[in-house]
Amino acid sequence: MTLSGRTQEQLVEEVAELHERLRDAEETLRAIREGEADALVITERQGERVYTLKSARAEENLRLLADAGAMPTESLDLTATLQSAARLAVSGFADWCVIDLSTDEGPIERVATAHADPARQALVEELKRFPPRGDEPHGPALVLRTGQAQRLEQMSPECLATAGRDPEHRRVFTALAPSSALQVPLAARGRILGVWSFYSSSSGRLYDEGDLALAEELGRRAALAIDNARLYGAAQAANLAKDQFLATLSHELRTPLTPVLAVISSLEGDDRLEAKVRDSLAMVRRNVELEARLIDDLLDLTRISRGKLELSRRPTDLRQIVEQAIETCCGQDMASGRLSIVKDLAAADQTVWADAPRLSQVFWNLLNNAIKFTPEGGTITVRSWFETDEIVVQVSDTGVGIRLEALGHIFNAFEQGDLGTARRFGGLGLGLAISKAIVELHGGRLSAESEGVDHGATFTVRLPVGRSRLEPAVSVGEERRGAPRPEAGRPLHILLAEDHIDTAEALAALLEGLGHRITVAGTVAGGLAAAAEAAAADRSVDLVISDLGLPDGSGLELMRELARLYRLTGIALSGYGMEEDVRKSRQAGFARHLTKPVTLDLLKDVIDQVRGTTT
Amino acid sequence: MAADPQAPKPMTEAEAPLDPEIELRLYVAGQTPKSMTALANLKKLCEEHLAGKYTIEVIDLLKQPQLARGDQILAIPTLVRRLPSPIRKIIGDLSNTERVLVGLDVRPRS
Repeated sequence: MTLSGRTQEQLVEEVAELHERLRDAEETLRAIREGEADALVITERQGERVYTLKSARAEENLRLLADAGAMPTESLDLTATLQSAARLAVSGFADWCVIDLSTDEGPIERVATAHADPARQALVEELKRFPPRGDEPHGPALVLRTGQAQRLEQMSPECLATAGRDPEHRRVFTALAPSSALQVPLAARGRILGVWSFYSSSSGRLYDEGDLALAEELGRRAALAIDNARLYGAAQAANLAKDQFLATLSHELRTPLTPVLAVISSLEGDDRLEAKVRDSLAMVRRNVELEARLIDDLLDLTRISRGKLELSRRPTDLRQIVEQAIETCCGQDMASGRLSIVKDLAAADQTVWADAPRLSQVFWNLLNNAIKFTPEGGTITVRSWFETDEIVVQVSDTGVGIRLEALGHIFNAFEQGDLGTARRFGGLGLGLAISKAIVELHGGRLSAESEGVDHGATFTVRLPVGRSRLEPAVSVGEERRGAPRPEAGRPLHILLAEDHIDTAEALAALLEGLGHRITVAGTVAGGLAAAAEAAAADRSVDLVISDLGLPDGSGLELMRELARLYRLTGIALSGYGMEEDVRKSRQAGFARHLTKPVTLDLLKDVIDQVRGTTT
Repeated sequence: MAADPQAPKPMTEAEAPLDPEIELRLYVAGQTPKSMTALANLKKLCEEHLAGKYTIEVIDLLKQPQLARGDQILAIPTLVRRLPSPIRKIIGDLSNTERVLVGLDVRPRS
């Protein structure tokens, strides 16, 4: 098979460059996980945007306030809250009132007005056209600057005559006929957020010192409500930004892995290469796959924090899962004699109702942790036994152990779903939080014990056993491969839409190697043109394989059009693997949604499955 | 470990890079706490360890977010060593002087 004209040297160079990028990405991930960054750059359609992450503290404050019961608000909608506060004030205390808020760097906003007399509400609303300006020598602007409440017991005609910024403002103000006024700051946590102005008019009420104290208390309560709503808004935005950031980051990280994996797997199978070279290639592939798993962890992390991790469960042979995990994770350390592995899987001959790849992930994580934290000469023991209605699998090591104070925290990363908590977790990685979530979704439990530092650690997985006992197990190996389709083997004409040139070339070469005919397009328009041309020349496209992010639009649009025009189906290749992404690609007409990086074996299987359903 | 980290040796002439100029760029986001800390730490560290050999350019991505693209900045604060090449990046508030010096290749990796 040709490798798109690459020489060995070029390949080595590309792998070195990839290595640089991965190191960069890993460093970024680590820094974010450990809370070393407090702002993120997100690339949006309109360009780059910076999100500052005050969220950790904001959310904490929010919780503190809520717990203290200090908030008078039922609603987090700021305008609605203040409007109802204003209405409350004019049900006896004032004849009319106005609430002004200062904004970050921007002008002062007049957000709420209320009048006791519904007939005059429209008049008081007019005041919204005249919000105070920062440098005005009196009125709300002065209170905003000084934070000092003001009381004007009796507003003289002279006072009214000079009130307002211009004749129009003065006309409205005078028409409202204020006779006495209170202006109090809305202050929370040492910051002045706004001013609440109360006026009496037709009631003839003259505000005294006691009234001022009450107004100040109202001001404090309103300020808490404002602070709360703003904190909540900031926390929400930061959370959203974080999820989006993680999705974007995993996409960026996945994209370059696809061509590398594809090229390496084909090179590994090339028997013209020396065995030594192929061994090195296997090492490179293992490390790229490891990186891919890290990225998967990142995606899982966002799924778990949104409660969106889903299982596809079937009867599964637990022994096979545990044995394979031991082989995958510990094979090297056992062979080299670095660690000894003790297996006592007496009870593992058991079928469990499980998502096999997910459950494997749990044991990988536990075993990899054990290996990571156990020094040379140590022992890792894997045991299993039955307890009432439960099968227990325990992984223990003789490694560095866990500090007693830390034991309670190690699974807790997502209780608050923020970066600050993930930091506590740093040294143990993301695996434990993900594993715990997976085990719990299976109706089981995952617990950790340690006698303390240098006394090793023990992780215990408990899974329920029940009705599935009688059902035959599906072997883990078979499960991935679909049943062979009668059509498998017939060469197809595949339209490959992919704008990442390296990926397109590598995939095209590999698919051609399987005997298919490939037409490559780099854009939506190019894909449509190629399909039309092929149809006109009577060598119609059989199947579409498309990246979702194309320069002139989305692979979804391309698929939708091709499904409509030629009743085609396809396979989506995407760096994004969230449920929402999968749903959208199904809707557009893709039969399958694969998340990058994709191995040739998987792609081959999926092509066979998909064409079986369409031709 | 190759060197005793407790006794940092000043760089000798021979160990200094051929081109003595170390060009640093610090990406910040307005006045977030970590941005401010990073800037303060960087100034101090440069004065103590790189005196006379460096330039610092501070870029505020809140004001010019589009500049993030050039050095592919994702997290803030990030320090970029533009020169000597290859480019090196360090994310965080730069409070761990040892790590920063290693990251800038001023101190050998252990």
